[in-house]
Amino acid sequence: MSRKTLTNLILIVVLAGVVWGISQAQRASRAASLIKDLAQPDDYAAYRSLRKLSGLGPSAAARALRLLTDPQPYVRARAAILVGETRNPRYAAQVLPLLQDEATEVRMAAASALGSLGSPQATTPLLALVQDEQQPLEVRTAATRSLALLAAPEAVPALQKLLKLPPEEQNAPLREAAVIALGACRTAEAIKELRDRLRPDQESSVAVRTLAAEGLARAATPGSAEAGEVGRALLEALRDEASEVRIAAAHSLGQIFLPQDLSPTVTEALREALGDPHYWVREAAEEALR
Amino acid sequence: MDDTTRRQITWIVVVTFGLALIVYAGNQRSLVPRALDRLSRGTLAEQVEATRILVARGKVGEALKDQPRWVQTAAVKALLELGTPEAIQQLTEAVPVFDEPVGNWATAATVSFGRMAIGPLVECMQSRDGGVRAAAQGPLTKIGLTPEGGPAVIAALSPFMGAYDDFVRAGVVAVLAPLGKPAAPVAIRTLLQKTPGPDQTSAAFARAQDTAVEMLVAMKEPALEPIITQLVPHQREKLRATAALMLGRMAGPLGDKAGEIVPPLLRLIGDASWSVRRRAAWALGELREKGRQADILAALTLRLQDEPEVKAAAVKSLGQIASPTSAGPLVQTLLTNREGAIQELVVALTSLGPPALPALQTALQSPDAEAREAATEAVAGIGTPAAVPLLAGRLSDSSVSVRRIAAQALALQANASAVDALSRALGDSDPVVYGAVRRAFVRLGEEAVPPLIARLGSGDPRVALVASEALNAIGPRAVPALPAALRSDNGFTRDWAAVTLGNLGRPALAAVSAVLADGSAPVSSRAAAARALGRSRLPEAVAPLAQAAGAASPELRQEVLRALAATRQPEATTSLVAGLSDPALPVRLTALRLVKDWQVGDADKQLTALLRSGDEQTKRMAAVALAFHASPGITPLLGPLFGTPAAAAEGRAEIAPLLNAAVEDPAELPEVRRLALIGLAYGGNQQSVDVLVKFLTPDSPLAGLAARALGLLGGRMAEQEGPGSPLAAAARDRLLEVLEKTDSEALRLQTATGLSLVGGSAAPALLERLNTAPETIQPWLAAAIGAMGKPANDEAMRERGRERQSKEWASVAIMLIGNPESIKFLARLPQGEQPSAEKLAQARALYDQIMKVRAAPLA
Repeated sequence: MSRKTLTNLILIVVLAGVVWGISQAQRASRAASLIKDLAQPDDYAAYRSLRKLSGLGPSAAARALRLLTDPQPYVRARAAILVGETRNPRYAAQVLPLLQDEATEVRMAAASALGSLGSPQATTPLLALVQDEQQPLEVRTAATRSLALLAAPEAVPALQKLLKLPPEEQNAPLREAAVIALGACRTAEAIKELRDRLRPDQESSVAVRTLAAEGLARAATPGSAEAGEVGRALLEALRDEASEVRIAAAHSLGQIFLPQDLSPTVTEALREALGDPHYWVREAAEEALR
Repeated sequence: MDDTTRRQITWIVVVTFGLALIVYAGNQRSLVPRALDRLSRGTLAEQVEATRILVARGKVGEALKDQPRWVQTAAVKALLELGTPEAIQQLTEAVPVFDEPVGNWATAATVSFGRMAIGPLVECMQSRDGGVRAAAQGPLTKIGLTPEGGPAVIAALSPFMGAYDDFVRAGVVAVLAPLGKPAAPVAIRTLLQKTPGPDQTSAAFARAQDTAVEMLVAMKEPALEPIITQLVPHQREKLRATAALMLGRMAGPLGDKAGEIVPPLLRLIGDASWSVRRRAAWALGELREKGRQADILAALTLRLQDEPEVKAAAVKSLGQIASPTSAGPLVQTLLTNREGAIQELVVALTSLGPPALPALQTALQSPDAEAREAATEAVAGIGTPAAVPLLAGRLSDSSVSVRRIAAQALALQANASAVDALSRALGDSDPVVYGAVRRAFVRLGEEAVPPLIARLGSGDPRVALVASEALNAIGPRAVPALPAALRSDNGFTRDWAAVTLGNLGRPALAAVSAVLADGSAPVSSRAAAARALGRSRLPEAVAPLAQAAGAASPELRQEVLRALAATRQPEATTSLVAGLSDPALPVRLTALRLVKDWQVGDADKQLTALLRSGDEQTKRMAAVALAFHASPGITPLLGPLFGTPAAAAEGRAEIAPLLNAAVEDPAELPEVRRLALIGLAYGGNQQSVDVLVKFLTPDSPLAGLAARALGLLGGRMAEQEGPGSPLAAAARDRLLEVLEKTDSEALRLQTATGLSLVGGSAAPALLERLNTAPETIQPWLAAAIGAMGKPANDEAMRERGRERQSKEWASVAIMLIGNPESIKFLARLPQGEQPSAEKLAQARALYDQIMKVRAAPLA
């Protein structure tokens, strides 16, 4: 390599470094300005800043860490949301104290962010929040959704308890979040609870039965006896009066690895489902048979 | 480094870069399909990761469009798990592409994010997609109804009250109005604002104020207190007027609570500002029947003396409240103080219904036409049976506008009580009035038949026509009473009954036929029946008419023949042709007049048979009819369709002698002679030339017809036999001879017309004659050649080219023919070769006379 070539290469590298440095400085300056905007009370204006900050990447979002202790609750909540978007478990420790915040919106945002950060150390505090009946339903729902993302097996009893809540409209999001979380846990107790939730005599909510059928698709070990039990429960759900449940059951039957002895029965049931009055049940059965 | 190594490195760099680009592009393209596959088959974590990718690229809605239900469900589940504000926005934006159950679930679940969802949902409220806006409104309202969410939603949406897009402002109202009291201060604050804010345009300020009004109105009860306490007593007139407007608009939606708006409105109706009083008066009317309270009615009645705008609003409201006690004051206002409120008064009085009729009766007698007009309009609008006599009374009003309104109302409401007045109104001079009266009679149906029949004999054709039209519109229900009208002593009644029955057609056929067949009935009645059958133009009408053609009365037989011709049915031919043999001469003549124009069915065949079987006069008449059927006006058109008419074929030899004989027989009926003479033009022979020439004398009344017939005969023969036809030459020569010899200018005109009708074949002889003819005859010859038209043009041009005496007259003839190219040619010639203006004017005057005679019909 000649000296001239070397000089040129160095020049290019230096120039690239300068450009990168300037852009980083600009991003930092822009992030600092946007972080300030998070402090305004208007939720819509703050959301616009939040979106722009998210677009600047995790390093910009990390700048929100110092706002986690802001005196304004809505600022702390927005900061928690932004920190959650970094998906960096290292920040969990700074978010965890916010689960005890006096403002509902802060606890809710913190619970939500901890799921995104994916730190296992958040499981216990989140479980506590889920089980705390004094907490508003939105906070418990956010915590349950985060538990689903953490897929913590120890959460199963608490989730089972949530499903025992009366199936009223205000409890719907929490119960739905609980059944989704059970699907993520994949323990024997979780699978049994999901099978129970498939039965209309046990569960009146169509949405919960649908999510249970959906969650069972990947819950059991392929080809195991447990998978057989799941298959039989889904076969039963294929006759549910709610078309949404039948769609989910047919689709899950197509996903699950069933024991050999159950395959003919499932195939026959799916063929029968090809004559279902609902279009998407027929489509799901056809795909499952494929 | 040598060149080869450098080149290799360069290539490696380029290829690597290219490959990297391809791999990157492929990866980007497969991102969405892979994400959808993970949503369909993956674990929860994989599903969440897939949606994270879709959210980061803003492709959630696009990717989920037309996806199976299970993919949609999995996506909603994963987006809820993801739970970022961006995910909430894209979830809401995707609602329109979801199946309904999934969309409903997504919308309901969004609420669980509480205040975190406000930003994304407000963003969605500004979407151009109505489905997205609708999906955002529900959750926003629900979040707003929570203690924490309410102020945040109000704060987030308030800046959009002045938004440019209508749908955004409508969304703000839809979300904030259900929030009730907490949202009311924002709207009140906006209304109290005097001028636009620092960052607000005046248009945005006006829009924000409109939105505030809409929001408070939609809010209903929670808005009452702030409106009543803050706006009603406000010192700004505009705010008080707006308050009145809002209270009025809330009157209906408030239902049982509407009474709460009465005290503030009663306060505002006494406001110092007329615009506030006007709005308050209007608003009280919105209470409708709930406003039937003494204090409200008194306040509104008082405003009847106010400014025209306030008065109009008060009148309108009194009408909406529709209290019977308002009739008197409203009618009084109509009579004495209607300026600026006349339409409102009509509507209001109409709204009061039948209770207003007694008061309106007074107004109907007013000497003021405008007041009567408005009162009649109100009575018409009330539209109950009790209003009909009042309307009927107005049919004789001196004002045409009043009569029109009354008649048009009766067209929709008339009952038996109006019959007499309607019958009189048939004679109204105004088309709108008698047109509406006709419709009123039609509405009455059978009840209207006797008075309408009575008006058939009024002697006024217009009245009779309208009555006849009404009877026709009533239809078969009018038939039973009409045959009696055919037997009426009144000729008008009989005639119009015949017209009516004829127009009624088939339903009247049996009844009319019975009158025709009734030998005991007067001839005039049976004749009217015959006319009715003829007018019906039905094939079934021919049989009864044919039967009546043998009636004893010649007058009836004549009428029957006319009726048969009027049917235009082929079946009528036999009776019509048989009419030529009728023992009564007037009947024969009627038959001849009809048959000569009758070419329906096998008329020619039957007439040809009659040439050989009838008496002499019948034969002559048949010959005349056949000759007329061969007239060039008919033959060229019908010949190709129906074959050559008999006269032009087998009957020709027989027709001409019969026509010649008829023309020469002084004992023959003058009309038959005249028609036979015309017939010679179409069916004559060589002998006919001599026959016709005999009439070419100055004292013959038939000279004109004979000359034209001779010309036409010659022209027809020249056309059939060629320019050398001896008959055509004979006709030409005889006409020319008379033209030159006679001193009668009238006869010269007739013969010159005849010569022009011979056509182009006569042109060479006439042009030749121009060289020798006396000066007095030359203009006639030039005019006749000019009247021949284009067929004479070439001959005239040739003649002009010869150096002879006739040259100038030939040029005159060319000018009269008017062929553009020939005229252009003449115009290019030297002045000396042009025809003199004097000669041209002389010939043109004669030419015009010839053309006028030619234009007159022969028969």
